[in-house]
Amino acid sequence: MFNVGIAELKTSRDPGDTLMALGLGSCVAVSVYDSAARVGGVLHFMLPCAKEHESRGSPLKFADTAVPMLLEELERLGGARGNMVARLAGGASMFPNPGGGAGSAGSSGDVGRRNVAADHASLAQCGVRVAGEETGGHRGRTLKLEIGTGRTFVRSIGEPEKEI
Amino acid sequence: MTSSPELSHSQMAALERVGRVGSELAAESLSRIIGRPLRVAASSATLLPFQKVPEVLGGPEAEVVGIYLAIHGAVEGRILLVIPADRAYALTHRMYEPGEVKDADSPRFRVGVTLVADVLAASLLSALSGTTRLPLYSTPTQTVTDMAGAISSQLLAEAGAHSENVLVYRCRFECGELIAEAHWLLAPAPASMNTILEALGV
Repeated sequence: MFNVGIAELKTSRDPGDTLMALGLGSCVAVSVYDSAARVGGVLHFMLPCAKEHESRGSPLKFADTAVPMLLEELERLGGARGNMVARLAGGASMFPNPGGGAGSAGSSGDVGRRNVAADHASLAQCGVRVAGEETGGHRGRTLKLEIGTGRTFVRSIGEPEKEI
Repeated sequence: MTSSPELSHSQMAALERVGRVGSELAAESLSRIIGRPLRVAASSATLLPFQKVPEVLGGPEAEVVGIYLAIHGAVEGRILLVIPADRAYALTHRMYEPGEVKDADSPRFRVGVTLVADVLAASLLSALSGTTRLPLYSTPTQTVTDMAGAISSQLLAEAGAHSENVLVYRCRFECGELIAEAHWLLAPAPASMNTILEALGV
């Protein structure tokens, strides 16, 4: 069991491994799996777009720079983009109206929705299909990818785990 | 107190002083609300890499109560207070007579939890305004109970947009046999941190 923290990615081809992104709120975790090569990885990012920010820090913070890094890492392990399938969790708005105003687009209350949109855009640009997701809303989530089966699960407090 | 590459030792000491004042204010106010003496057993300030914050809050999946408020006025930014859900419930129970509130999901109990959380969250804002002598205002608070990782993610995204670190205040309260640990996360806008430090004289 490996925890994928904020602004981290982990990949594996060990069928005994499970990769988990715990306690997702506005952050998004994306699991990508190649069932032919039996390799998979999980990325946990927090912001949609690196070029929106002057002081960028780690490229793994941003969907647009981190998604290609995850796919390249999987290719190094033997994966092929044509076989890769993605699943997403997170992108919630835990505090929908943080500024006390109208909760407008572009505010921090909107960052979860923008993270999900940026993830979709980056995956589409890289030619990877999204097969399932559990995103949006106002609750925390944990995503789990089993490398042996390629199955991805999501759970929230007080709810049973479900496959996406 | 932990010094950091982004802030000098004297700057961290000044910011820690704000946290101590906020903790004392919180203890005073909570003591009045719950009708029992509550004291500050420990207080500290740390500048933490944002990746480490969920762990410090009890782990990414720990159930916590989070209170979020925006700061406006001479300083722009956000404050998030995080307290373990079972500790928030235990403090709230002390507001009522034994057996008066049985169900943690009852509306009356939820109002009590929000009141306890509001007092804790507002204390840091009062301390910040009092020690800096800057006019500061807050938006109405928003209270959510969920996983610590999820609760902190929005503030970490705000802070992570321009910094690799977040200012975390930790305070341990004692009320008889009950020990409750609360964390305040402070994320000022980049220019606002300079305003705070200048007003604190460091």
